Amino acid sequence: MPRRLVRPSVLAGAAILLLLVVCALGAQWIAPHDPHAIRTPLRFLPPAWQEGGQAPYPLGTDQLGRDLLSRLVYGARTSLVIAAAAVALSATAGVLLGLAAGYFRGPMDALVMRLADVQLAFPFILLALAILAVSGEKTALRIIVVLAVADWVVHARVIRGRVLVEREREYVRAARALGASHARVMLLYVLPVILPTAIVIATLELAVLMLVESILAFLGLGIDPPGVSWGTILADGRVNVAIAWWMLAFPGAAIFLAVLGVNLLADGLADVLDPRLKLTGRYTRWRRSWLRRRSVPTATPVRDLTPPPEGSGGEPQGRAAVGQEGTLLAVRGLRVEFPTDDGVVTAVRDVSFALAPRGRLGIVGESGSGKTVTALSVIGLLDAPGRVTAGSIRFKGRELVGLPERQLNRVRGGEVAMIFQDPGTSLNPTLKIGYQVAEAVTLHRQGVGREAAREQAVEALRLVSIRDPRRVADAYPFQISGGMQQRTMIAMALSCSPDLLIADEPTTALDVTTQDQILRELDALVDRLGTGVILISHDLSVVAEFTDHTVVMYAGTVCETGPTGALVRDPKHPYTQALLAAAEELDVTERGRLGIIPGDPPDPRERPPGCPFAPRCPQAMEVCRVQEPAPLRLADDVTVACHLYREETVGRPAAR
Amino acid sequence: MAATPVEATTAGGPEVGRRRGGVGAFVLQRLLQALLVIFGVTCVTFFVLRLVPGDPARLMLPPGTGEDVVAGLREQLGTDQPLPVQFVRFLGGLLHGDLGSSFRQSRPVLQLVVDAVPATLALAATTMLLAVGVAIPLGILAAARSGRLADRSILALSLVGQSLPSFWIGVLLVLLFSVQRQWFPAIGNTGPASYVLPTITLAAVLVAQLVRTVRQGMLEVLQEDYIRTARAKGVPARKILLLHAFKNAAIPLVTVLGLQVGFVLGGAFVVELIFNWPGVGLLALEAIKTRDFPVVQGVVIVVATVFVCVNLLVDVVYAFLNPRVRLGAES
Repeated sequence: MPRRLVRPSVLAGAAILLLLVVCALGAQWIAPHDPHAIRTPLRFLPPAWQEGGQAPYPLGTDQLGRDLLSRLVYGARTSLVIAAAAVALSATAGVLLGLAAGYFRGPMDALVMRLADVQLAFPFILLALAILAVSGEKTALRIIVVLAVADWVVHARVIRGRVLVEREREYVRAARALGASHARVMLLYVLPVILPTAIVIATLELAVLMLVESILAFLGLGIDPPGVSWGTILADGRVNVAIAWWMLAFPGAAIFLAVLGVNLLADGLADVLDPRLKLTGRYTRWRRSWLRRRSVPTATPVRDLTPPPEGSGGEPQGRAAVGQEGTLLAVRGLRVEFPTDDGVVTAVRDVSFALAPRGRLGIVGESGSGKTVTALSVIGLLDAPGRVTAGSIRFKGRELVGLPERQLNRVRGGEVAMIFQDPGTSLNPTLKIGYQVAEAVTLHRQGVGREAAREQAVEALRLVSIRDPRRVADAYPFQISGGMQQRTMIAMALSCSPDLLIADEPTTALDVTTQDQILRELDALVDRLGTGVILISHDLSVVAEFTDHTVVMYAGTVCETGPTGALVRDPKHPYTQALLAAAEELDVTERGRLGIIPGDPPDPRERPPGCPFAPRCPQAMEVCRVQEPAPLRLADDVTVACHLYREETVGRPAAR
Repeated sequence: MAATPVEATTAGGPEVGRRRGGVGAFVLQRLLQALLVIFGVTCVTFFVLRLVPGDPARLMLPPGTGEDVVAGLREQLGTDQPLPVQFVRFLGGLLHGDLGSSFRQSRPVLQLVVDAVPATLALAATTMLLAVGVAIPLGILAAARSGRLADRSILALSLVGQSLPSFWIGVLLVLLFSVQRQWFPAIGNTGPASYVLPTITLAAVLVAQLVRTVRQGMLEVLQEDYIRTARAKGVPARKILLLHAFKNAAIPLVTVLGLQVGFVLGGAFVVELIFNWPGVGLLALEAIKTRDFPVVQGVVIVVATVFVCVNLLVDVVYAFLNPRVRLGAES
């Protein structure tokens, strides 16, 4: 049994359900009395422990002197049998119809879904009431059918949604290609996959129908005698509310506990079978942490825990790094970890670089290389549970790691701004552009009023070559083109004249002509405003045009750094060479991809020993698969982590 | 400005506000859909009630009544005619706003039902207000503290709430606050105080469901890129939650609320019975008890119509909340 099913709440639910089943099966042996035996002299006996109560009737008697406990035991039978039978019926119908609708789509789907729509278009309990009112006798079977007719929609809709996804999967196509009939594919291939969902839904609906059964009975439309329903008992109790509280309390508690038990069980099942359906909502350990008071769960900066390993140490090199005084941003020995269910994943390890004021730094690498995670940790935007576990990020001499959220908020947007890859999703769809830009101004410029901020926003929009900034300010993001959206993002980022701008693939989502334009505009703007820039891209040619220093990242580590010109002219690391080849060979329009380097980056959860690039490296040697290469300083500001360049060959290891 | 004039031109004039149709067309489309649904519901009700085994005429008369009397009543009710004929007559009446006459009260069904609707709607309104007022703050809090104690407690309470039979809550409230201490009236609608107990009864279960919806919606929105943008701007967490996230989470919530009106109308039956509230629920239950079938049918049709209209209203509100729909970019 899955570990997560063994929890107090689930066990309690299972115990309650077991009790219900025992009552339903063995009512005649468990109940101390005949639930219908009328004993007029014993009317309204209170529970046994109260004054006037009698031991043979532990929970008291009703207005006809019938034993309440016995009636409750028989009521469990009614509740469980009717609800379970109705669920079995509605689930079968709903799953089959949902399966067919999702699988065949077209007219079949339209028919089933329209039917469902009409049924959902009005409160079905109304029709259930009307049907039961018109039908003379209310047998268990009729109630079951009415409930099932009301309930099939729920099953059908959820199942259809799942089938729509499943039918596009490879195994379904394969089965069809092998000549399996539709019925065979549906029942043998798709059904087993959606069965867990169906089971959870059925359990949830069991609880719902138990409630509905008792409601119908309470309204006087429950099962005819000799059937006993908890709802009927409660209805009797309502009439005698002033005399016999026990006729209210016990049947109500019975319904509540029974429904709660089934719900708890359903919740536990959902946890294991289909977490999307959890009643108590979903949360994973991958939750966001940004409402915490601190940006990093560890209260103290941890930069001293892990000194930068030998070889990578010292101040990062290059023209961008001009020592401690003239440094805008200095990242040292950065390590970012994501705890997951499969263990801790290290997304970024031992990354160091520095940037001078007004400097331009490029970070290049494939997706998954850790370049975005690096950028996000600089600005304190790592999604929890990701966190900086070692290293230091100093901005204008101030440590950002471990800075409380409130202080970080002052830095973000004001001194360090960021623009993201997809402007279409990065702008809030329900806020006007003018407001979104002005918000940055009001947050970071003291004493700027609403009107003034808006004027500044319009000016910022004008600055990024938006021709009619006033109209755009009044528009919603979806009303303008992708290029204009990214211009808006840039305007928002630069509106407070930050010292540092982090641009994460700022042009990848745009078409090629717009890409070049935006880059040129950005180039001119940051030049004029004196903004330092970190440009993140998978495209070395973009970085080459824009930056003066480059960091090449692979699998969360830095494999080469150097002045951009030198790095492009004479790439050292085989990975940089491959990146360069990719940028050169690909047609401009094809720039989005990096398929030219064969193989995939390693799975961060199963990092092989040795150099992470070795499996894809054309020049890999024996040592590459065993030992991870340490960063080596080749020239004054060129560092490479590759076994091809050995200390003896180069004669001078990096920063001793 | 660094950009050359050429660049500025190619940057493109704003393609702001291409309006296609806008709200007017949207509302018209929804109105037609609503009429169609109402017609569908009416047909379903008509046929279901007639195809259920059982003879209304015989059920309406005391057992042992002579066959000739039953036949006379059948003729009076029109149930002696073939089903298609009954249907055509029914539709003809419907066109004139005629839902037949109450058998017991000799008044037009429509008038009876329409008289009862306001009381039910008033109760539904106070219920929705209370439920939304409680569920939204709790849901936002749960989402903001996702996975932590506050979140877990709210979710646990929600699970308990969803397992509570509303009529039990109602009856217990009557027992505690009307019978044992006379704080609120137990029956009828005699003023604002009368609303308290029925509203709480109806809202309790609704809150339990809505909290989860709000929480889930907020959690989804909080994953969006634009939330990261807001954080990158330095927007304080509280403002991100209440403005940037909630404004987006509220849009789908409106649709959910519309559907919950159906739940409230259904629940009104129970609550109106418990509190003797003079609404459509009580009317229907009385009619069921006295076998007044035209009234039962009329209530189902009118309540379904009210529900469809409420959802139409919800769609319009949705359109106004969502700029994409309002400005005609999608519908």
